[in-house]
Formats: sequence, C-alpha cells, structure tokens
Amino acid sequence: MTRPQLKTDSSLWPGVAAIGLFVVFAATFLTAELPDPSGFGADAALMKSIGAAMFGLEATNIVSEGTAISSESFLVVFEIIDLVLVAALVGAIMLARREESGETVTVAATADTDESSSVAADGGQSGGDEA
Amino acid sequence: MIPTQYYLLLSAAVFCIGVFGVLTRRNALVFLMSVELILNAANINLVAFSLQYGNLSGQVFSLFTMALAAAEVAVGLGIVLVLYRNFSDVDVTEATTMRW
Repeated sequence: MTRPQLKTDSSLWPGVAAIGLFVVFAATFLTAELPDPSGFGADAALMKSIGAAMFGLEATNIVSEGTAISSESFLVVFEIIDLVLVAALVGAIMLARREESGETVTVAATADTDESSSVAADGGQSGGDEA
Repeated sequence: MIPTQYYLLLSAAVFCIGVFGVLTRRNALVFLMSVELILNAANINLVAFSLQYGNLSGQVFSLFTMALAAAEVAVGLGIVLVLYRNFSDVDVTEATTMRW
C-alpha cells in the first residue's frame, strides 16, 4: 500500500530562512508605531473614484452620490500597462505557437537537434542552415 | 478599524510562504505560483497603506500590479511550455545550462 509520506531527506535551510524572515518582519511590524488608520469614510465612493483616477478624470465629476476621493491621474500608467499586456500576449503566443507542419518552434533548441550551426537565425527550426 | 500592522503581518506571512516555495519547489508551475504569492503580498501592503493614509493611489497601484502579474504569468507559462518541449519535464533544476 502506498500513501503520502513526509519528505525527510530534504534540506531544512529554506524553511528556516523563510521562518526567520517572517520573524524579522513580524518583530519590525509589531514594534512599529503607526497612527490609527485614517480610512476613507463610510460613504466614500471608492470604485468610482478608482475609475476616475485610472482614466485621469476628476472624481467629483463622476461621483453622483457619496464622497468623491480625489487622486492623481494614472492615465499614462494605464496606457503603458496596456502596451505591456499586449507585448506579453504576443510573447506568449510566439513562445507557444506551432508551425503549419505541426512542428514546434523551439526557441531554445537542445543538443539532440542536428543543427550544425550554433546560430539559430531561423527561429530554431531544425535543418535549413546549409543555404 | 483593524490596525495596519495586522495587514502587514498577513502580507509578511504570504511573502514568506512565497519565498519558501521559490527556495524549495522544483516544479516550474508551483514556482510561478510562489512568485504570484510574493506579488500578492506586495498588493496587500499597497492596499493596507492606502487605508492607512486615506489615499487611493495604493489601490490603483495594486490594480496595475495585478495586470503586470497577468503579463508575467503569460510569459512564464510560455517559458514553461518551451522548458517542457526541450527537457520533457517542468523541473527548473533540469535546465541548468544555456545552450542552443
């Protein structure tokens, strides 16, 4: 019969390091003297204010009921994140895509490919370096 | 109102669990999950200090961090896929050399 067993042959140091780090953090945080949280107030229109901040709008123009919380504009950051997301999407597709023949494009080919050249100018596909 | 220190304590716990995962796990997918834990610990901090100072910037920042985390996971999963194709395994300690 097999059943889950505790792994006892692994090193204890990562666990000790993580717990030690937590102890240091906890000691720092619990001895820190922070004033009482100021909070946002019970009738604060948080979601609408966040939306206004993300698109660089004035929160008081958006919020009809509740208290508007004014913030700085994050429109430029929003656009940069937009570009980063598109780049990541394209990067993920580039890494994962397959060719029409069903062969995978290997970005980092291993030693078992029969490439004679060490430079993969063709995106790492096998063969075709002779020309 | 809950003192900010308790949020920081929660954040530290999540961060340390993430660090432990990064240090011990060899499966690339669990590795990615641990990195996500570390990122989310930072998010908890941002939201906690947003409440502390009554300032919205922390919450907006944490939204952007989530978007960045999504981008990171997209690229990370692509890399895991390539790792699996090349080494037939998702063990991160297998890929110790950089080679063509």
